[in-house]
Amino acid sequence: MITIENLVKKYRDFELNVSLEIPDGQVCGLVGKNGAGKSTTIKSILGLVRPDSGKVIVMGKNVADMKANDKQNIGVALAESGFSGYLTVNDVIAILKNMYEDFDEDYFRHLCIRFDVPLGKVIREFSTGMKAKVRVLSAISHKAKLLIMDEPTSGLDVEARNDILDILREYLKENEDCSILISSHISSDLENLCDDIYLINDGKIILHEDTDRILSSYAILKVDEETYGKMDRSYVLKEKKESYGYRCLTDQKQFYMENYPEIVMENGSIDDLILMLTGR
Amino acid sequence: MKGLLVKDMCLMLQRKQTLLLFLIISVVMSFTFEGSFIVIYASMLMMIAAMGTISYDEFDNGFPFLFSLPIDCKTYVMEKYAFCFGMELVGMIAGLILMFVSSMVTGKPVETDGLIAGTVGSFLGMAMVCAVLIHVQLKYGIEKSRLVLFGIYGVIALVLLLFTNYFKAHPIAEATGLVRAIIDFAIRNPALLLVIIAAVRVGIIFVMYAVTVRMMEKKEF
Repeated sequence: MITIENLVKKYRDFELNVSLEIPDGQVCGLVGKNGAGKSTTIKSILGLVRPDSGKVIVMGKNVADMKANDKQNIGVALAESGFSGYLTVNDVIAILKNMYEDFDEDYFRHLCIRFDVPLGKVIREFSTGMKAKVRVLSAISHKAKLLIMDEPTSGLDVEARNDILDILREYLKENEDCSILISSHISSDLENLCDDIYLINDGKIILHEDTDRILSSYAILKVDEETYGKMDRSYVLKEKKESYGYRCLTDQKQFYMENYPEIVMENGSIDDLILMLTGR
Repeated sequence: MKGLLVKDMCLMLQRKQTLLLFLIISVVMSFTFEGSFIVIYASMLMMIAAMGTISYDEFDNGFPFLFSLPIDCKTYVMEKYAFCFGMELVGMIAGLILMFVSSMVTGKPVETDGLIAGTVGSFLGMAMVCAVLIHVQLKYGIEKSRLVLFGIYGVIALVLLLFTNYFKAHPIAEATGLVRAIIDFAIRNPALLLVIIAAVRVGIIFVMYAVTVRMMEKKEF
């Protein structure tokens, strides 16, 4: 669905240099700290920024050659950009109806009612969570084969975040062929949604792993100085000095469980990956 | 394109109070000023209101999302032209209606000589200015474009001042050379001169369209 080959985009104090692949029907998470390059990657996929070099291919077409009509199959929700705040949701419905060939007005209205989105109020008077819902609903209401979501849950309370994730889960259930690229720095949101995760830091992909493998094989080992000195560290990806000794990230949990049963171990999470691999 | 037109129409209708105010001002103006002034005035008001939709698009960093919709830069610029020129036309028709209504009410006859040529000419003149303003707004954004426009107005004022001074020093009746030739041509072929001016304005609109599309295609969001 999306292929990025050696995409390079240089700014004065930042350089993005990434390659990634999202197969058809796959849900892919792009995680990383603020300023890591997630939004620039997404903007490159959407043709909103032009790469200095490299190729971005979306649904078989080079993004640079994509025509307006090719975007009919893409649903987009961006973190800090949406419909003008001076429009109402009723206006948005009228616009989408005339913008997308497959816009499903009944479905959109149904979801608005379900998630208490007022139809006649101007968007700028909405809460942050409500605005996020409008963005996501707009992206999923025209039977898009590819959804691109940049931080759709950013700045939302738990309830609003769950609502957004529920919307996406239901969409996936009803559209199994759909691919999703979703970026977030709240990685716990992605653990139940994504098939695989790309971890980006300082403009580079530093890890690509199946979500299931992260949750089943990655772990945090908490070891004192003595154990740290004598243990086999071949499978330690990163360690950090702590007051009690060392905190180590491994992708071979089983190995340490079998050989060092005395080590205190915590199951791995995407947040641990970010903290250990990108933290200071 | 249709979706963008609907968007701009929705944005315009969000400003019902402003439009109502424009209408009241136009009605007052139609009774205050004689002649076709109201036609130009009403169309200018509508054009300015239509151009305001660019600010709404830009509001709250709206462009990245807008350009992720199934549109391209060419369609966006073309739609802005269509919408602004369309609104200018609406203003012009409203101005003409007001002019005739005020004429009937006050009993003052409407000067119909050259009305059509004048209306078409001013429509194209304003459309040309609109094309330049759309370019400036899209290139520099809401804030910077104000400064750029001040600069443009300054240059225009300077050019007018130079012309005024020139013709004060060299009265038209005593003009010679190229200026004399142009004046003689205008006196002999007034209709042809109007056609040439109209063609130049249309030409400038097309050039501005091409330049604006190119600028937008180079822009990153």
